[in-house]
Amino acid sequence: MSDLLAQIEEIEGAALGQVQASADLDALRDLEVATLGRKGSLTSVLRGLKDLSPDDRRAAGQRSNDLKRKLQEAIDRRRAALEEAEVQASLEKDRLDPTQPGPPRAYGHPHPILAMQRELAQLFESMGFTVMDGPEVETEYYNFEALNIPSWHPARDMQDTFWLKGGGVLRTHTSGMQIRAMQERGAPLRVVALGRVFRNEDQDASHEHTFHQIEGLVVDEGISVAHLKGVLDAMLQGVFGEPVTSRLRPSYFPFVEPGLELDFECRICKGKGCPTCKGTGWVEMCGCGMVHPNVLKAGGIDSERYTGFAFGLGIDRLTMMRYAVPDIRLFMSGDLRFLEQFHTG
Amino acid sequence: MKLSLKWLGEFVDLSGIDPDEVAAQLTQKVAPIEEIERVGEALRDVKVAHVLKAEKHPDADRLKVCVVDTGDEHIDVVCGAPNVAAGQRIAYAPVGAVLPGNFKLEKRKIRGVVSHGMICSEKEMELGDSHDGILVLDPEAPLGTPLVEHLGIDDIVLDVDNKSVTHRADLWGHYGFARELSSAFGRPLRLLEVDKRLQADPDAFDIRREDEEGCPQYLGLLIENVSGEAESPGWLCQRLTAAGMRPVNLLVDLSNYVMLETGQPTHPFDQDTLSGGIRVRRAQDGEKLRTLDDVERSLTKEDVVIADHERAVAIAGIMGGGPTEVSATTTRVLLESAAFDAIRVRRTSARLSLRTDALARFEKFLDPTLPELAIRRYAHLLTQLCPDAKIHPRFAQSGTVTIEPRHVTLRPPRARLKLGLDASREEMSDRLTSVGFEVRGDDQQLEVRVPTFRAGRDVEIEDDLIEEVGRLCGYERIASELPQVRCTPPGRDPVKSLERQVAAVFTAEAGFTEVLSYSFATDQQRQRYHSDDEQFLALEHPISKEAGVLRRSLVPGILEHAAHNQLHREEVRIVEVGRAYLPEHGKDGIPEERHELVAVRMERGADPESLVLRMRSDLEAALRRLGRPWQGRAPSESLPPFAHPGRSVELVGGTQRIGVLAQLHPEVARTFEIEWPVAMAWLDLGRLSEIACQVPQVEPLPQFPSAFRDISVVAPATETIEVIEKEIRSAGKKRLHGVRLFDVYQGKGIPDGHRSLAFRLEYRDPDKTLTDQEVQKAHDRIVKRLEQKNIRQRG
Repeated sequence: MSDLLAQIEEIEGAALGQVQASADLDALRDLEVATLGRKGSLTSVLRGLKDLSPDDRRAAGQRSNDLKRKLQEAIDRRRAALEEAEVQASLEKDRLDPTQPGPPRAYGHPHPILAMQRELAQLFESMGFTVMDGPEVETEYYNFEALNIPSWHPARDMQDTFWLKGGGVLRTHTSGMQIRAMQERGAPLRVVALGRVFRNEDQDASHEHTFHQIEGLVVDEGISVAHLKGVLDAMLQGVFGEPVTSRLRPSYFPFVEPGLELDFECRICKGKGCPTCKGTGWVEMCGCGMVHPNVLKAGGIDSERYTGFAFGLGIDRLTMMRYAVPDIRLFMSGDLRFLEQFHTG
Repeated sequence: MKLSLKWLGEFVDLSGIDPDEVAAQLTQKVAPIEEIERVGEALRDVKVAHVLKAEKHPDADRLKVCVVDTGDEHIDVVCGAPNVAAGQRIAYAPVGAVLPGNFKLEKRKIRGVVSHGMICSEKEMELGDSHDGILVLDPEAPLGTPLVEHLGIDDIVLDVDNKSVTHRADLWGHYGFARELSSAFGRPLRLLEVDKRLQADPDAFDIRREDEEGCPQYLGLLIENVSGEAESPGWLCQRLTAAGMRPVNLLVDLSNYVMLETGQPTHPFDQDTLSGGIRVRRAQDGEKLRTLDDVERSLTKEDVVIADHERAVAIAGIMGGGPTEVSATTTRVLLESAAFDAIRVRRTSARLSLRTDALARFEKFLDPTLPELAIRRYAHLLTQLCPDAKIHPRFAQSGTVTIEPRHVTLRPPRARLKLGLDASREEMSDRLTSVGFEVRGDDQQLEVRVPTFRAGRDVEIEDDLIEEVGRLCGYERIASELPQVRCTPPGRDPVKSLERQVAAVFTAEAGFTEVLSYSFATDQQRQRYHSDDEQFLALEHPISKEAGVLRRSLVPGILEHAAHNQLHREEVRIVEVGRAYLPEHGKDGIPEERHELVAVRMERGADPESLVLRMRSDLEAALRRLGRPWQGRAPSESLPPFAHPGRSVELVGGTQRIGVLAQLHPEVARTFEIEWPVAMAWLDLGRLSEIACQVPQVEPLPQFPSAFRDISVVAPATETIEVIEKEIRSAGKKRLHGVRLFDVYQGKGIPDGHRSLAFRLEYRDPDKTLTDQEVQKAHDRIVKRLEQKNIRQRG
């Protein structure tokens, strides 16, 4: 009995000290196995209990179990301390150069014009508009005649239109879609069309013969100029991300009456006048107006019951303004040195 | 069109109104003012001064030392002009003045004498070309007055955007704008002063209008005892210059002056160059006329010409002829003032590509009362400027214009609804009256009489009056309001929405950059890419002769971009979505437009086959994202020219070909000067959009684990992977859940004409965990099946 107790004392004396002395987790695990493991010293002591008298067995059992618990607790504490020290050590040691880039990969770049188109389409879809598109090669009827631009009209300038041998034209605006939309869908109607348009003009830094427009058309009962302004203001807010001051002023397009132009307050000088707005404080945004009754009729819509508004604007110019693009011809250049500068959209 | 503020001020008092405000009102209510030019602004520091003394410079023979009286003080100025002399009134620029060309005057010592400022020549002030000496002024010129004020050239010129007044025939002269300003500022409009004594007389001159449709009215006024050498007075020259016209001689200048005032062009003929009377007729086909600009014009019978008894002397409404123009020897003039058919003159102008100031007005359906007004105004001004001129008291008139007054109904409630503007009936009526309409009626309905100057093709229907109400009341009063939405979901154009998404998916999923190219095909592209028998849609007047047709494929355009980019990139991935125009499939002269996608992937030094396979993965990623299932197969239809016949894959969706994936044909690569390996993908978006979008149907998650086994085989290269996979699946039966190819190898250790393929196979059972034996049994079955097909397991 006393042998046993002596052994326990001895184990206690040695093991507790060793626990504190173990330098790392491996040493601690070895110690745990050597004392508390199946073949460990304390385990074999416990195994000797069966030879003792019941009283001795109880006393020694109590004693050894106390030690076992005490040892286990000491080991667990030590393990936790060592683990924490190990984490601390790795935190001290592990380093990443925060300026080192990730390995190279290919990034796609959306074309700025198309990105703007998608943005506008999404904006108008969120306002319940249908996104449409007509053909790029149009008939004279849809491009001019039905839009209240008969052949004699001064608004039809020969040199601006690409006529095709055989009679069609490359659409000079997206407005031809107005008639198609009315014919296909009838009233009430809310549509936008986005696409490529053509004018037979010489190219320079601000003129292209191939460019892009968005055309909008709303026809319903009771539609007014106030609604036109409301929708265009919403578009401006969508494009610029904040409310923008705008104004309507008279202009002339044969397919609208009244014919209007929407300007917005120059965002560079806040309306005070600067080179961008030619000192006026305003930037021209889009031609618009109330759909001419002749156009509604050409679209098969009762022009007494329904009124409507239409607007059209150049996407290229808007894109140039947003990204400070110096030359409109870059858009069609296919040059990656230009296109790779665009990331969003 | 340029408007002189001084000129406008003759018809409506604008005193005390800031010119910027005049421009702002016009922009807000009439038409945009694009520029405000302050004439004489550059000479604001130059004043009228007097030369008291002019003595030879002590140290220079050609210079004089002058004492100049500026009105305030006496100042020494050194002057090199030979014509300077004591007693002259001159233009003096003091030290600190900035002359045209941003030339700043400083106090300067010239050969020992200090000069305070400068006595100016015309050229230094950009007032003329004369550099012979200083500008000597009228001896009465008031001392100290700003020079521009004294000369009357201090003016403000407003530049109006012409396009915005295309519909407003009344705004093609100053008087029309004066009317608008009278309305805007509530100041009375003065009447135009005219010669009221002139009488119309059909027999005053021999005029025959044979082409009555082309010329509804022709007036002619005979003027004698004038000289073609007479020059216009300074103020008149300055007004013409301000309005952008060049003074020529008094008789011609007055004609232009009247046009710039009233909008009615007139034309003075040298009466002595005309043989007999005037005939207004259709030209003969091929008839020739040398116009004022010294160009010989060939005419057709659609053109209206003014002729004498021998030949055409002017193209009606566009330009006069050279031989009959006013010249130095002219002493008698026939002044023409007429009405021409707007459509006919416009057509002639378009055919001749000849636009003039007169045409810009005649094509606008002018007020029919204008020809007579213009002739009377001309006579009035000529009498004042040239009292000796003998103006015939009767002007010849051929054709009378009957004017039916036009009435248009305006419903005030309709105007309020359409404008979204709260304006009373009284306000509408007042605003309309202020610009010449006559209005009667009640709150429900107004009868509006349209004045003749707005009756051409301008104000015809109620909506035209609604526009008048809107602009005159002020669009700034209309508040923003969003329309009430009827809750119907927007429809979708399937091709368009695919078109919008597909390139974006290529950029996001596979690192491609979107490009755009022109819709035109160049001769070079046709030569490089297309065969001779392909039909192209041709343009009437292309941008350049080399790009005279519409493209039938996006491929040449994108290959040019690719070739360009290989100069500055190691790797290029570009994609374009656009339309090809196919005339043979069109209708009504309108071609079919095929919506296409073309993607190009190229890399310096890449293995071409692996580049094509990488492109295939790109396609897979993009089309998966769009939810469109497809398969690749050996080409069954003829291939597009870009495709390498041995390395092409036909992309099939549903039952039809939706595109082609291929290595770029080496011959095409060579013609486009592309040196790197290129993989191409082409998709027909119309067909792609017809494939139903796949909606995944979810399978329940497996209850038991999968077991994986790899199999590596050597197969004849002629066996396609599709066929081998099919064999594996059929032999593996239900427990074989997945087959994935993970390696393809050809080369050392593999017999010629064979390749090694490695698949990872996934086995699973829905009802239990498979034992090794069960898996092995299925696996052995597969090995055996492949062996039957002469595909052996690799040792």
